[in-house]
Amino acid sequence: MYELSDDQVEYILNNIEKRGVTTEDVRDNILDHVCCIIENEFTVGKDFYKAYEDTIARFYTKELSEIERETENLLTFKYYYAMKRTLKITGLISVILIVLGAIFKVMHWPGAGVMYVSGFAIFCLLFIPLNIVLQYRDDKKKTDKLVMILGLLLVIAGTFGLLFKVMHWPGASFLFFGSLGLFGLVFIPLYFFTRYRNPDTRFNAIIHSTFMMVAASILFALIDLRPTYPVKQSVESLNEYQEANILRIKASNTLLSSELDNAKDLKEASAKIDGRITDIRTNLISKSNAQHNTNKRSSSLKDTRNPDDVRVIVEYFQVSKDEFSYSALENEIDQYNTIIGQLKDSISLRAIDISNLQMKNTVISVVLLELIDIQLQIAMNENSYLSVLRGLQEH
Amino acid sequence: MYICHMYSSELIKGTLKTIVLNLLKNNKKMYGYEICQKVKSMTDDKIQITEGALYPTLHALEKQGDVITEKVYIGKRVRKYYTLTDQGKNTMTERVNELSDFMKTMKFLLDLDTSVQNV
Repeated sequence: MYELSDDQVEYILNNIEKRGVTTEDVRDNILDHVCCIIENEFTVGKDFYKAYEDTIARFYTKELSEIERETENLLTFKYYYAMKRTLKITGLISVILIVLGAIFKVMHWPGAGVMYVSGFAIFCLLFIPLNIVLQYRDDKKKTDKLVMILGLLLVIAGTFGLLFKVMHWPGASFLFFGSLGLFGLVFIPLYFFTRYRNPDTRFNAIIHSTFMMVAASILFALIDLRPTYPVKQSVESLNEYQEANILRIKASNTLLSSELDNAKDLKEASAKIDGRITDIRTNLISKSNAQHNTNKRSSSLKDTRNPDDVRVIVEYFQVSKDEFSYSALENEIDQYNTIIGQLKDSISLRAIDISNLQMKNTVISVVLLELIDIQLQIAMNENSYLSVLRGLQEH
Repeated sequence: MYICHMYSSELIKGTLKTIVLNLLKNNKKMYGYEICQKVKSMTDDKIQITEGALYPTLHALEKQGDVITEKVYIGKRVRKYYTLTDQGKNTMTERVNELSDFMKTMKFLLDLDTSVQNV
């Protein structure tokens, strides 16, 4: 019986490694097996290297690393079905969560954010990576694999962009338009040309590329629904007109009331609600600007960093109960309406009604414009009341 | 590269797991070389398991939890002994039953045993 020395065992181990077997377990198995064969099947005196070469040749047809590849294949094949099953389940769960999240979001029910974020997370972090792995196994050609992986990575980035956009998180536009641009301008042409060359995939290449191009263009057109620049400008100048009008009416009111002393109640009530509304505006703008890392305090729409901010309205203004919230505004208006109701002058005074105004679930610029409108209405009430009083006095 | 000599490799490829699991049932604890030798001697050299097929199968069985391994150091080398787990015993029974059923069906299908035809 052959005895192997430590050096010879070492030599075999190194040789196995050199032949491309990298997994420790596989290496150990081959090593022991080779040693057993040499020890049991060769007679003492035979050249060790010759014996080793003869033995190792029994392990493969072309090269030794076949064993390792075969092992990997068997192992991944086992996961293949588990992965396909996971793919189906995660696909279904993310679709349900995203659809429910969308419905909840539109209805402004609580929980929309949680569903959206978890749905998108499952979609991006499980469903698409699994797709990448399976695609990698299924695609035969290396370029096809790389192109598909690029596409799926762009889908992940784009989906995150969409999620950021919906959740009003920063960086959304960069992520979304960046990946959408790359998808349309790099991935789709690559996909088309790599698959068009192959007659087997030519027809699918045309159909899929067309679908993807149309979908990408529609997404691109749909997502950017912000007002165009001229609209934004006219909204701002409208706001400035209103502010100027309020100032002029207030100046006229000061003149009128200096001649009349029996309008004290209305004057006080007007000043109180006017001050409160200005405070609400300032508070909304500074809260919204704080989300965008700006600390500017102002009551003017043009100083709002993001006039399309919905978050400050949905998450703060319409739900809070503090002194600058929607409910505080309603209270203030009720008090004001009670006071002008007591004045019993139905010709010049008009109660303020905000029930038909869109002050919830909307962008901050709309709320700011409406608040200014209410202030204008208050100033007008005072002005016409004072004018009527003055007219009566002159008669 | 699979099992060859008397039988074609396609024929025996699907039964290698069953063979290995069944051997482990009878012999408790075995290592790779031992499994090859045992099959060889039991079948009078008709079935020779090649190393290229055996080790991938053993790794797959280990990963699936059908066998567990135990490492024994012999000088500089490591020998892995394979033992059947409880799950492996179930898999073995299933596999053996499936194979014997398959063989019956094949007999019937290939018209090898007329007595089975009337069953």
